[in-house]
Amino acid sequence: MDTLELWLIRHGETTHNFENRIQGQFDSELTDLGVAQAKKLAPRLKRQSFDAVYSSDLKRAHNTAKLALPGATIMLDKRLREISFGVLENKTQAELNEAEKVTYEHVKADRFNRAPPEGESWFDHVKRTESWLAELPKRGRIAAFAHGGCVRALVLSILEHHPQNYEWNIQAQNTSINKFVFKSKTKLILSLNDAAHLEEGATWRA
Amino acid sequence: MENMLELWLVRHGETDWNRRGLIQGDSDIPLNGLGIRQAQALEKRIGDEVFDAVYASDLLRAQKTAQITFPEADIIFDARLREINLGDFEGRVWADIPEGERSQIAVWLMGPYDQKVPGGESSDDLQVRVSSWLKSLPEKGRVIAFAHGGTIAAILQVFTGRPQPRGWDEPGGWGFRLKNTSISKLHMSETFTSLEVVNDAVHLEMIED
Repeated sequence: MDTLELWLIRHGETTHNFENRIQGQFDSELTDLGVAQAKKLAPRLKRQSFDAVYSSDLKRAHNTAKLALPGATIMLDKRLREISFGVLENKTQAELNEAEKVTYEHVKADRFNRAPPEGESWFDHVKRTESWLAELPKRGRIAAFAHGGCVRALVLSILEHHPQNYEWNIQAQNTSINKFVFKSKTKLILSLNDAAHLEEGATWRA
Repeated sequence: MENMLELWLVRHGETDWNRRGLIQGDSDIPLNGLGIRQAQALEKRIGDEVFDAVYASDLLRAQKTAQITFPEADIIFDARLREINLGDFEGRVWADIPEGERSQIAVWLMGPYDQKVPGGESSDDLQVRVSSWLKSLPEKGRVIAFAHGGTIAAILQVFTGRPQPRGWDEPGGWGFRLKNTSISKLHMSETFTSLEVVNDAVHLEMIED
């Protein structure tokens, strides 16, 4: 039976994460901590074999991939980029002007359907993620280095776009592993936000 | 700041019925040797964590997993955390169930969700049971509960919703899979819930099978 296992991995910490700056598709750099996080991920991935490795073409994801899976052939794909926040990107909340604040609140009130100028709605992001997913092989194990938004978009897709309200959300820490299985007839959410490699004093680890 | 409850959900360790692929439901099957070692690995990982309360299903496998992980704790046993009752199917091997009967159990698996397995519970029954338990929790603090794969998935689906009901053998649908002694974490407030972690069982990597 066809079974595809997907390990979707978020990038390490960036300057924008650190400064709480709206990031989206702005091409920010990993911080020293982000680099260290990616290196801690490496031994966990080394124990697995992947039939293919993909990454968002944004530097923070690509560099995380190179550090976590040294030597691997990495296929870059723009469809794995973070959701675009358009004109709001690269600003902190405090730096938004009055018009941008209005835009921000307008989008926030219906994030699934509304996009900022030059940006994407969550529905746009889900469709983009699904387009990438549809072209994957139907079997094997794949690693993809991407963004927190991609994890949410994939989960929203698996949940049949059902949770359009935002009374719940999922967390995706930097360098967390999120595992999914796609079978011919059904989809499984295996694990979300597994970042056990970042735990302090993890004496239980082999 | 709104009140926030941090809820950890842990599945029990392995039983002989898990190992043999028998449908377990609320049959009271104890941990096997590997299940005990899994619980010991969990204890090494999280035994020092401090919780305001420790809950467990009153079935033996969940009780024992909780006791190995937190030997000093006053554990609150609650039948609402039991695995779903799968009635006449319990103790049978899924692969051995004839096609006709399988489509019968599929009705329960795929909806409509008010359909009960013969002699057992419906998915709706399980949702009501776990929702009642969630409502009984304190509004804030840090608590942990030892329960079952079906129960934990049902708790997660209180927030994510369940798959759209579909016909037997039709594609579609999705689910959670929770490993023995896996940890899932929720942050819950009155208006918002965050699924912080689902099915982290990295501590199993240190165990010899």
